[in-house]
Parts: sequence; C-alpha cells; structure tokens
Amino acid sequence: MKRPATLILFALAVIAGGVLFTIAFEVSTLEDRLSVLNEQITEDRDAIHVLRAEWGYLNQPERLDGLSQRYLELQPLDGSQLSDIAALPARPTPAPSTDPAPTNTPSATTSPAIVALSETESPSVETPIAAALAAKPKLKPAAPRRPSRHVRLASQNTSPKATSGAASSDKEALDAALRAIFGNSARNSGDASR
Amino acid sequence: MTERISFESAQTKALDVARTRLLVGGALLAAAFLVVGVRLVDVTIFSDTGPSRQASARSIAVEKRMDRADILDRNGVLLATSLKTASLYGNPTLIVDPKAAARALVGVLPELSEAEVTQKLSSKGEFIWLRRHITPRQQYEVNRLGFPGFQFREEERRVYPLGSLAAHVVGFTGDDNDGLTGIESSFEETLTQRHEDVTLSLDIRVQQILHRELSAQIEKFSAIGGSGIVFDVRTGEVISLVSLPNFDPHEKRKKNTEEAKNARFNRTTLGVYELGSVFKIFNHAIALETGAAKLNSIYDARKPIRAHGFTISDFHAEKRWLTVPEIFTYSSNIGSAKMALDFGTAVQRKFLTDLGLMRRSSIELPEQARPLFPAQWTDLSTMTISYGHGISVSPLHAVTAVAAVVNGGILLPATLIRRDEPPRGERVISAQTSEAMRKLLRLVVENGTGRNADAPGYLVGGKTGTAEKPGKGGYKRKALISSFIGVFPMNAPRYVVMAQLDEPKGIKESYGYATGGWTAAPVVGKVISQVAPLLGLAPIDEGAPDIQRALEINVAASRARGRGIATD
Repeated sequence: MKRPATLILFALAVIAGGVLFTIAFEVSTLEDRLSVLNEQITEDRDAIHVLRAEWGYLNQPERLDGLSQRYLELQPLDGSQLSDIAALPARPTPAPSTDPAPTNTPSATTSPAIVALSETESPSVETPIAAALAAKPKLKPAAPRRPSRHVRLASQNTSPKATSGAASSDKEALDAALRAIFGNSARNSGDASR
Repeated sequence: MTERISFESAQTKALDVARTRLLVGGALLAAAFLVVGVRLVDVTIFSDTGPSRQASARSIAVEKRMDRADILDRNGVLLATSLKTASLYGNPTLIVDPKAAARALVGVLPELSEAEVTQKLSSKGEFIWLRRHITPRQQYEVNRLGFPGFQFREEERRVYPLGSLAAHVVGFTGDDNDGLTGIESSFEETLTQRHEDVTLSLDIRVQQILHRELSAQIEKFSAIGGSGIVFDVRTGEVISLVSLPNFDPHEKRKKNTEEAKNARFNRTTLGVYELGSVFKIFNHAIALETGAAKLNSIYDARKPIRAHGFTISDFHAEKRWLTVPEIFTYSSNIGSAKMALDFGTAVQRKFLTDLGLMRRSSIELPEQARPLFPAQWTDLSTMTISYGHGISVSPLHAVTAVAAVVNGGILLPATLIRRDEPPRGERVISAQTSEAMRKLLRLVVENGTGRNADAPGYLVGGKTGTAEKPGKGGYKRKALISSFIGVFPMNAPRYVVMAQLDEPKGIKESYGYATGGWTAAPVVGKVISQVAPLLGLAPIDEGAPDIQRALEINVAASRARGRGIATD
C-alpha cells in the first residue's frame, strides 16, 4: 500500500519537474524572441521616422515644381477649369443600342480597361487607373445594376474620341484583341453566367 | 477531597492559562495568515495595475519618443522633425599617440583642424566632443580607422525637410535642441514636455506659391526684400507667411553676419512699417461707421493742405471735388485727411485700438513688434495717419485689421495654429460698414490703382499702399515700401492676401513706377489665381446680375468708373 503511493508521488514530482523545466525553457526562448522583435520594432520605427523625413524632403514643393516642369506637360490649375455638377448640361438619353442588354458580369466591367489599353495604342501609365476606375463601382454592393451602365457609358464616351472615324474596323480590332487576350473566355463567361 | 479538588483546580488553572495562551498565539498566527491570504487574492485577482503594467511594458516595445515632437502644416506635411545622429567624441585616456590619431581622423573628416584635434586628444579627462552630428558614412569610416579612443554617442538632431520655405514660422533650435526662434521657441513646452505634435495653420502649397511669386517680383524690381501673408478672414488663421530673404534653418548659427541677420528678420511680424495708403481702408471704415462721411459726401481736393509747416498733397492730384469712393480709388491724401478731421483724433484713436493696431498681435511667434504711433496725437498726426504715415504697424497687424473690416466687422485674433472652428471675435464695425468697404475695395481693383491685382473669376478687391521710407531728417523719396492688400472673393470674402516689397526700383515695364499698384498688386493677383482653386474656391461669373448688384455702389460709382486711371 505504501510503495505504490510513494511511486506515484515520485512520478508526479518527476513529471512536474519536467513540465516546469519545459515551460521555463519555452518562456526563455519566447523572451529571447520577444526582445529580438522589440529590437526590430524599434529599428523599424526609427527607419520609418527617417523615411518620413526623407519623404518630406523629396516632396519639397520647389523640387516638385522643377520636376513637373521638366518631365510633365501639366500646368497649374486654372480657375476656368473648375465647375460644379449643377453647371453641367443635362445627361443626353443614351442612344438605343443593338447589342444585347449589358450584363453585370466581369466581361462588362473589365472591357473598358481593355478598351483603354487597345485604343491608346501604347500601354500608357493611365491604364491601371482606368482599370481601377472601372472596377471601383463594382465594390459598391448597394446598387448592383448601375455600375454596368456607368461603365458602358464610359466606354461609349471614350471610344469616339480615340477612334475618331474608323469605328467599325476598330471594333473588329478590339474584338480580335479581346479574343487574343482572353481566348474567348471573357465573352463566354459572360454568356455562361446568364 | 478538598485537597484533591484544589490540586485539580490548580492543574486546570495551569491548563486554562496554557490554552488561552495557545489561543492567542493561534489567533495571531491565523490573523497573519489571513492578511497574507487576503493580500494574495488582492494581488492576483483584483489588483491589475502594478504587476501587469510591468508585464505589458516588457512584452511590447515601448515607443521610444524623440525629445522633441514634430511640427506639421495644416495638411500634415512634415515641417520639423527629430532624427537620431551619431556624434563623435574622443576619450584621451585611450589614445596612445594623439598626433597619429588626429592625422588619421582629419583624413576622414577634412573639415576638422589637425592641430585642434591633437590638442583636444592630448587633454586630460575621458570625454571631449570632436564632431557632433556626423553622417552614417562618416561614422563607418571613423570606425574603420580602428582607434578605440574614438567613440560615438547617439544624439538627436532637428531636421527641417522643407528647408527655408517656412523657416520664419517654424524657427530653429540651438545646439542643445532647444527652440530659439519661431514656433520651436514659443511651443517649447508642448514639443518637449508633453511630446505633442504641433499642427500649424500654414498650407505649404500656398506658402510655396506665395514664395515663388514674391521672389520673382523682388528680382524683377531689384527690391531688397519683401513679405507676403495669406489670411483666412473667417477663422483668423494665417495660411501662409513669407518673409524674404529667408534662411536655411539648418545653417542658422553658422554665420552672424549682417546678411544672415537680415535673412532671419521676420518682416511680417517683427518689422513695422508705415504702410501708406493701405490705411485709407481703416480711415474710410471709421468715417462710414461714425457717420462722419457717407458714400455720397464730397470733399474739396483742389489744393494741398498746409498745416504746421507740412504740406499734404496727392500723388496723382485730381484737383477737384471728390466723392468718398473717388477718394478711395484715386487714393487721395487730401480727401482722406479731411475725412479724418471730420471724425477727429479721439475717434481715430479708439477705432485703431479696436482694430488691434495699437498693441502686440496675438500671433504665436516670439519675433513680433509693437506698433509705433505718436505719443502726442495732434491734429496733424490724425491727418497723416489717415493715409498711413506717422504710424508704423507690422504687415500682419494690417492684414488682421483688414480681415475684420471685410468679414462683417468682427476682429479675429490671428493665429498660426490650425483652428477647427472659428473663435468668438469682437465686433469692431457694423455689418453695413463692412459691406460698403467691400464695394469700395472692389472698385479699386476694377477701376483704380489696384487693377494689376485682378484675377478673373475671383472678384478681387484691395488697396494699394506706397510709403517712402523714413531716413535721416525726413523721408527718402527713392526708397519705397510698396504694398498691396487684396481680398477675395469680394461678394463673400474668404482670404486676405498681402504682398509688400521693400525698395523696389521702377522698370521700363512699369513706366518707371515702383508703387504698390505696379509692384505688389501683380503678386497678389497671380497668387490668388493659383491659390483659389487649391483652397477649394470655384470661380464666379463676375457678370452675373446678383454679383453685380451685390457690389454696386449707388453714388458716384459711375463717375469713378468712367475715368479710372491713377497709379497710386
């Protein structure tokens, strides 16, 4: 009776000691890691601080002025370029279209970006912005129908400007480009989802 | 029996005593354990302040704050910040051969003198500064020399990323990182004790435009300096404050030459000037407010006034009777002096005091001056002050007062700190007077001396001012202070824009004139046309009937419009 109890107690003591040792070991490893991380955080903070100062330095208005004069064909904003919504003429009613009704699928939302890409002919810097603009309305869950219309309008508005005349041949070229890029998947996915 | 009983009772007694003692001892021990137990519960369960704070401090890297907080513009652009840099010091006890060490060090840091370093390294003690704030590359190279006697200490250095652009406002710090001038000095406690960032009312974009236009004009007219202010009439915030020539705050104390001192001088707050005809804004406002003159009153400006041996004459004499709007647009000194005599010295003094032109400004800069005005305020003073001579105020004083004149009559204390809501100001003139003054100011730009300040679509109004600088025994005819104070848009004023040039010289393009209308007014016009879109103001159709009606002057306006010349 006495011997098993002693054995059990002894075993418990050994287990407790082992657990304690493991935990202590773990804690010390974690603390080492913590101090390394803390050091890193401090370093990063210092670096961020320095970078902020450098960012401020590089953004000196005078310097930006010089750079923009040298590399950009932009001019200071003039008062005559400003207007407000009320001053705009009423939106013209969209011409009846022979195309099937615009869908709310990726094909409809991605196309303007591609339009921009193919019609500006050179892959300009503006393309990602155009894509972002086209994609943005999609994020609004409240009005799921409207974005596609906006996007369609946008593409309609841009196309005559850029193509200026040879509209039909350009449309074919665009279709070809679309097929080349998406291997018909863009069109197909649109159809499939309907 | 009795014996036994007594024996027993004696035993019991002893037992009782022992038991009582035991009880007391036990109770004490129990109480002690209770205290320990309660404290244990308290510490482990309830109290989580002391120990856990220690724990959290250990687990998260404490944000190491710089000794000085940052200074930002109203949009959060960094104007001043602190960076850690290494400073090199020598420990002479560890240097065996000072000469060799000095030679090696000067090879890396050529700006040091070898003799001086040798002498420093030969001195006694364990610490001597050799060079403060060196670059990381220099630090690396010094380390590579391998002398144990060269050591580094991390120090903080104030950095101004935008350099000289807002140097007069932000100020600079000394070697020991204490604010010496500008906001650095006046907000020393906020920056160093409370470690709070200071957000200024400045807009750095506006500052840049004003700086650019002003310096271009200074060059064009070979002026010796200039200053400019953009001021929000609704909040009293200073949006931009430029004083030229300016300085690089990093090189603050390197030289103490006359030139460097001149560059550090803040013309907008520390300089006081006779502003000339700009003061007619206040003179007219007082006359209209007190009823001493009405818009249709007329004054005889046919011949100069002679009083006390002085002659008051007009720069561009019309030599006829002038209406009150005409006195303003032609900037007639004779007419203004006569108007001032109508309301008198006491009234003039009271209103100028109300407009804040007789005391220090509320601006948060240590560099500011009190206005200068005559101790003996005679009738002659009243007359000269009516057209801005005999009283010297800082440009900021004038701008703050003009803002009160046009914003409906409320004087707002000027500030350099961003205000999120307008403060309660003091009413100095009535809304009706303010409206009349807006019309008069617009007239000056439309047809008078300030036409060069026009910016299409922004209904600029304003007043020119040209004053001769006082010199030995009188005024210097060729040394002018030419100013223009503009306001826009005149139908509902938002900003006051002031430009001033110190000693501009006439050029061919200005037909030899160096007056406010030719030199300072174009700066204001250019600044407004660039700054207004940035500040979110859309242009107005100036021909719109309601705008025309709002700025129409019933009396004599047509006559003033019909002629419209004058330079100043």
